[in-house]
Amino acid sequence: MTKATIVLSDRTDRLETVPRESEVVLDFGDGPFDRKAVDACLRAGFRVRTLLAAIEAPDSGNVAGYAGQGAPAVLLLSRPATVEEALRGAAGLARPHLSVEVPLRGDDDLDVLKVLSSLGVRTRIAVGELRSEGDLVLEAMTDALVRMGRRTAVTPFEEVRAGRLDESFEIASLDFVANDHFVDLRGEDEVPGPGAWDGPDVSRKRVPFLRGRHPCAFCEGLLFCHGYLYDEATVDLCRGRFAEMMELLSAQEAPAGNEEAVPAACCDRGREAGPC
Amino acid sequence: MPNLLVTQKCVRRCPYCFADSYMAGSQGDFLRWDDFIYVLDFYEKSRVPIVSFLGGEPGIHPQVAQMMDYAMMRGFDFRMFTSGILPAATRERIQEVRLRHEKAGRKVTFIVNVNHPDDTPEAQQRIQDEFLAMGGAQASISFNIYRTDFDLDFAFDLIERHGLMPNLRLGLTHPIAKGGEGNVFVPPRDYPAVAARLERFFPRFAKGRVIPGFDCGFPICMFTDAQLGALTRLQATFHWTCGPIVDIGPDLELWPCFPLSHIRGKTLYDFDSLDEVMKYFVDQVKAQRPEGRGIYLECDGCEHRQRGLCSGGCAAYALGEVGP
Repeated sequence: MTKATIVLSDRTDRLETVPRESEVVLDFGDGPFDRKAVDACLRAGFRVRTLLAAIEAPDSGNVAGYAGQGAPAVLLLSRPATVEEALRGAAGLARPHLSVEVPLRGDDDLDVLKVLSSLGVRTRIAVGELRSEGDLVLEAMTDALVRMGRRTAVTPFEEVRAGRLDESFEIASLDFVANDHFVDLRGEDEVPGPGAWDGPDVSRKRVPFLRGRHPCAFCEGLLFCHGYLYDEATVDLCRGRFAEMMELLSAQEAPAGNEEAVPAACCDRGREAGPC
Repeated sequence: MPNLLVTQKCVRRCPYCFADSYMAGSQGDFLRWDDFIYVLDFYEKSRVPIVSFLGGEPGIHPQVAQMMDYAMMRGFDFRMFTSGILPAATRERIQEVRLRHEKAGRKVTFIVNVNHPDDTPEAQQRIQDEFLAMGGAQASISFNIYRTDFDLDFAFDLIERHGLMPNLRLGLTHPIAKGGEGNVFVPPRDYPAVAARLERFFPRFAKGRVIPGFDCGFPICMFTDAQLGALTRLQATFHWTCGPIVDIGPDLELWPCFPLSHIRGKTLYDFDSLDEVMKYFVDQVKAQRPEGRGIYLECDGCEHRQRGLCSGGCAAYALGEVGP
């Protein structure tokens, strides 16, 4: 597995020693979309995996540029948004290649997440939130997986639903701070040598956690987490979260022939491929 | 179709208000976003095509326009039962949302409850007028009859002046079954007098081509055959039979309708579909009204009742300690 490279959109010169044909994540910061940066990567033989950009609110002015181009883009809300802003921005954000990351700081953020998701906007919460305290993540997860109404896919819940039995799926691949999947060149540190792009063997990753009495050995998420979220202080939190997630997924998966159990609408809009 | 109370607060204190008992006992002030999202999910699953806001006065909810916007963005048509007595900024925001969604093919209607000008402070009349002017052809008015000497001329004037929908929705005020202090209502013995009074306005209905629409609780026998004939010519619509409407409180508590608001204790979270809710309330009312009493003694042997054409007036009489 070759890791993807994260680089600032105005510093594509740092990609010089990066393996060609590998994937690049372009970080535009809080700036507008600039096609030149994407074109530079493509010309140099890279594949553009995702664009990252910070937006102040769902209806921010710089959203239009990302909506108007075709590459997958993750837009991170840089401050708490209001439902009103979500309503104003939803139509512009409801594009299959866009995804809005909503930080879960309080109930209002959860409302924003639900409103966007119910209006056709792909949303996501940071993978690290799975080990946070409180009920917000559980509520977001419940809404994403077993609600009655229509929702567009919410990362990482949708990816876990679809890929939890796939040996090659790792939840860390959705997290742009995961060292096993991304080489981050956004800082000013020296660009690492060629070996830095070689990812570890996925099939071996969970082995250390299966030995002895490691808390992750009994976790229902080990198959796709591979201990990525492990932290001695919070292991009970993420383990509990994965147990809840599996319970919700069991509830969501309707018995064959029982079409009433899961509304058709849930299946229509919630199961598209992720943008990154 | 169910009604959703977005708030329990109201700007008026109508003497006949049968929501008053509910308002007094309710806990939540305003519908919250997470509950609203849940309601729309529930509607979506139950294939309810329209979101119907009720109050109190829905316009008091600080985010009424945003909620209206959200409902229509999710593909619902929208209806609001209102007094029209709203701050100008709220009215303008509602209008902006309405026009935007009407362009996209959504249907927006306002049912504005009006009292006689003698019962309405001048300042409220002015604000209500502004709302009706804004609502125009998408607004209709409703009038609750709570005394036998009611006057409807002002209602026809409003319809004409503002180019409103040519409908006049008429409600009979009912007692609140097992209600606390009680409300002002027309006792069933006075229903024929109500019908006779209404007859005086038939020419105005005809002249303005205004269609009378009768809410539930009017028994067939309160009208003479001649009156019924005239009403038929006026294309009146009737709801002679009684069934749960389903009101949803701001805290998602449910009850079948305001006069039967004592049948409580369940919330929307206790059910999976509107069909389940309806069945639950039908069973509840049946259980509490085992002999199927009507509002008159004669209801017992009434042919219309036996044939299911008329429920014998509002069930609140049969369930409460209120006699005719």
